Amino acid sequence: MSRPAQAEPLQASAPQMRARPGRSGRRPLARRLWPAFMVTLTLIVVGLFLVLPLVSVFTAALGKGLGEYTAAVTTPDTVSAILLTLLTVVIAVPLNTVFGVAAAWAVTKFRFPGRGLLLTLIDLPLAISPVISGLVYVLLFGRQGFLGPWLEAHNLKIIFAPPGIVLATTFVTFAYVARELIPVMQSQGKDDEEAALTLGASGWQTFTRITLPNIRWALVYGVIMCNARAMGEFGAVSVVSGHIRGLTNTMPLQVEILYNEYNTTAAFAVASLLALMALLTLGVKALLEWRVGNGK
Amino acid sequence: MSIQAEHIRKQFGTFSALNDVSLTVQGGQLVALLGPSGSGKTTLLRVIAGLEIPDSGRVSLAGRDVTDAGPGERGIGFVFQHYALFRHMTVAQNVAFGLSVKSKAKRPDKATIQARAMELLTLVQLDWAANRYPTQLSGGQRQRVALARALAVEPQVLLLDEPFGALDAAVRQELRDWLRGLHHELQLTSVFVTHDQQEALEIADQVVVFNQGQIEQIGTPDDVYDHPATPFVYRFLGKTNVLQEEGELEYARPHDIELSRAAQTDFRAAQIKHVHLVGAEARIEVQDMGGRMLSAEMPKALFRELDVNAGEQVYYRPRRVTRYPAS
Repeated sequence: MSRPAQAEPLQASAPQMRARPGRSGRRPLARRLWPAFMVTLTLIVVGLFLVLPLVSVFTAALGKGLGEYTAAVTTPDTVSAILLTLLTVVIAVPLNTVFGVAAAWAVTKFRFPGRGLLLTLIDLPLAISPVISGLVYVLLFGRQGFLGPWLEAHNLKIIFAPPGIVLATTFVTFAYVARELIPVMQSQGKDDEEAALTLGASGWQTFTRITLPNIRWALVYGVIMCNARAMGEFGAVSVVSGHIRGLTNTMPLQVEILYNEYNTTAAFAVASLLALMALLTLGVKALLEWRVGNGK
Repeated sequence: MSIQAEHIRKQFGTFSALNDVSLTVQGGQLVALLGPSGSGKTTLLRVIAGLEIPDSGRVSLAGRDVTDAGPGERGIGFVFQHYALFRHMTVAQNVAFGLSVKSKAKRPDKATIQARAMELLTLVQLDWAANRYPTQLSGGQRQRVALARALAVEPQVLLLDEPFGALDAAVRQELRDWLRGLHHELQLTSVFVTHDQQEALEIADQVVVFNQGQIEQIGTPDDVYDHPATPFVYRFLGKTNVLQEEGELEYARPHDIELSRAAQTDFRAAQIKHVHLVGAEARIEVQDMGGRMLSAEMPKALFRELDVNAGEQVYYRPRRVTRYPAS
């Protein structure tokens, strides 16, 4: 018969915390400073690269006073640029939300031939330069493009017209919603959906009452990212727009034009509007989080 | 309601999960699908549920062919290993879910739905948790909610996929007994998947033993334990002493190995290598003259009477030997 071994004396099993002999058991100085150093470094980087530029946009915009500011943002060209940006966002973001949810749903809940290819295609707009994306649209829909003659015959203008801008923006921002959703849906698995199906829910009921609530925060974040990119897209839009003032300029393009005309204050004024819109979306997100957090 | 699965084949890529499997479950029975990982038991359960579509074969419930019906149209209830409770709904809302998604024509009014949900929660002794969220409950409680939810739509068949696999041992035992009691009360045809032979033997009316996509034996717990049809079933259902493996196979259970201090007829000599005292049992490892290691089990009290220690010589005899022809 065997007896249990004697318990080890406590001191022998205590973790070794001393790096230097002679100290009275406090953590060494270096280890206490390290977290503080990391936090300070992060704050400096965030301050320099994020806060400072943001603050300088607003100070430059209001540099010549509020009167100049309002005049700059209410010129007809600027107003049409704002409207075009809003139109683009209002079409591109919902479209990409629907596409993104559908793609993420297909990829994570089903197995089918070509699944890997679809995953790669979703990432494609992120991998290539936005300028190339714009160029591809010109090659497809431009006057000398692949579909050019057909479009002209039907009197449809895509390149150098708002439809082209919307298309290019949609393409470039497609991945944001899908890529936010895919890892979340993948880690959640199919159990919840299968449970709903066995309980008699239809596909649509399962989607709206089970899947969507499960992914709601990932979806919100994906929409915000998509929105931010759609508002600020420059490269692709620059290629397909043709820069026709009052017609095919979005806000980022308008900022560039004003800046190139040495109208710095006006340029910063429009830029500050973009910044305000971005801050507004972040504010909405924070509000949603707060309300849901307090609601339960 | 009876279940009939005929000639089911299912492949995942190149892996053959089910290889021409047929099974009939009588109405009102509690059946265990037992086997190691990858043996096909979960796949068959999911095929019966309609969560997997077989490559060939038919599934019938109560004589009705449901092979082409979706999981929501078969009158089944399914309980998952990891509960699959809807985390954004309360416990009561979870249980009411099946009723709340019925078509307008068949859906009962709100009051009736709530009453039914509370009725079921009372059955599983969780009525006090009706307004809690799943994350606020323990694993065992969550599984009981999952069961209540599955029962809410009055299924004819209850299917459980390793229902207690994610729970700790004490809770597992408790829920096992509780499920047995519930089945006795409801007399609902139930099929559960497990890789724990103890669980299957404890609560099932019939045990179906799976191995590599095929059924090796179907029988009562006594049948499969006392009269295993194949060496695999023998080895899977309990600890095995291999007395001989050249040509004919000879197996004996540890509790069928008798030990004696003195030599007797039919007893062979061996040396005690190890003694483990586990709870009320003694497990003695002996090595016979041929160098073969054998395991004997007996109540601790009996072992004490024997009065032998590790290193000493002892004599053993297998009370019962099961033989299988050479493969």
